[in-house]
Amino acid sequence: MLLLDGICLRYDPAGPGRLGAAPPALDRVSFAVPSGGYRWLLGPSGAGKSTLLRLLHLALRPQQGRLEFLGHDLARARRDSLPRLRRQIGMVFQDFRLLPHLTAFENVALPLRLSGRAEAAIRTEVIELLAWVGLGARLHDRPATLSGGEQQRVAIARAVIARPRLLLADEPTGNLDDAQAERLMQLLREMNRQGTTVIVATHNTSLIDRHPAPVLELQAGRLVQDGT
Amino acid sequence: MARDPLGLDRAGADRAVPWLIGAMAFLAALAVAGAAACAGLAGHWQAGVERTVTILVSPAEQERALARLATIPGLGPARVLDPALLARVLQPWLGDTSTLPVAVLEAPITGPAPDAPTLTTLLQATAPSATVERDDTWAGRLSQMALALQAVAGLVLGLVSAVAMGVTIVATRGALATLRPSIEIAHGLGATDGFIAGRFARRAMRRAGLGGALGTLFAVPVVAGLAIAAAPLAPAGLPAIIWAALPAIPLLCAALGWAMAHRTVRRWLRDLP
Repeated sequence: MLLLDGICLRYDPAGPGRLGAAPPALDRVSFAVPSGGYRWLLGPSGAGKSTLLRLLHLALRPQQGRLEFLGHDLARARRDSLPRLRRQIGMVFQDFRLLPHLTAFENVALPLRLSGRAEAAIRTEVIELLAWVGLGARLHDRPATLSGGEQQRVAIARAVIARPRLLLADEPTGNLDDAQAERLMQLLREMNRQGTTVIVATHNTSLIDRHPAPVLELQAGRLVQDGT
Repeated sequence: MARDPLGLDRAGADRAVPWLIGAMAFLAALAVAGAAACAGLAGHWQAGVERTVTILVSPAEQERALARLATIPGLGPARVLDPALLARVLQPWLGDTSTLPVAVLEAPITGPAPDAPTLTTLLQATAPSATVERDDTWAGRLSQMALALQAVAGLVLGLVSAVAMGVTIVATRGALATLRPSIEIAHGLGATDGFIAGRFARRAMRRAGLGGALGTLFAVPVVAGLAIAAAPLAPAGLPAIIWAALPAIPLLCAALGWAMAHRTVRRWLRDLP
């Protein structure tokens, strides 16, 4: 169960990523997603979608409210307990956020290595997944030599490789053609069927029409549709 | 694990670290060698001068003084220094001393002997012109000089250690600033502070250790040269601890690099959620 109750969060105008006394980026946001749930996250640019995803990815802490995931109150959890929780959350960023000095293989393998998985198992799993996303021939290429769509697929593979309990995606189909986007949706659906909670932020309404699921909608930091 | 998951090789902020730490290690090696050499030489000289007592007496009272010296416990058989030899030794400073009415006696200290004032009193009872130098004054001055030089060496060691720590901290902060995006990504994927700090610390340890080894290697011929130059003053050679301490310098540099980088990264990471 993922539970947000009265979450408030403001950025500090004095510095990027700082929290402070600006207008609220998230204003008393409350919703719940059961384990294995699937939600679309909608809203115009600047509505707070990315902030909400960063919050759920534990890259931000709320100033008010309760955020519960896997039985932990993340708003109050000790800082040193967060890395273990982060390893159970997969995130696909709009700007990919691949490590530029690592190959596609090393980028995808990193979450498994950070969680201490045996190297032999890592190799098999990573090669299999990269082949599945159509990058079996680009294992040893660095992000700079990959196209936007290929980087997006590496980012997706990295987000799902550790079979996270919560999968967050920010415009994951933005750089993919229709066939690749459909393939990605199959992957997300399959992971969801296996018990992963999935939240996908998108502007792509045709995608939502083809894959209907409850919708969370943000407007100016407020939740106007809570997915029920 | 990828050899360099955070891209530390790309940061380039620590390229000069081995050379700067090397320079500090070179100075540290000289300071350590200087301090140990001072202590060794002072000890050697002190032992030499403390083993004898020198008596100046008029030639007329020389035999009485020798007889009295033979009865004083803690002193071995006294001898009269050859006046011709003495005249030759003093000639450059005092000119012709052959006519000086003074005899110089020297007695080895073989056990607990009276101090200089007591000896003077004992001797003056039979040879009123006798004056005694137990050379304790020289020994004390040498000892003070050695201590002062050791303190200076300690100060130099402290300063070069502080500079080495500063170099490591500045290089680590530079690398952190350059690699912030990569660190944030790894942090978001679940890397612990210990993992990230450990990567930086291991690299700093290798670079500082390399610098320490280079600096020490360059210092070895200089220290060996000092040892050769000091040989006539200390026939036993420089203290062996110098040669034992030199290999410890690269290890200390490495440990210092590891600790400073680890601490700097840990503190920096506190700003991440």
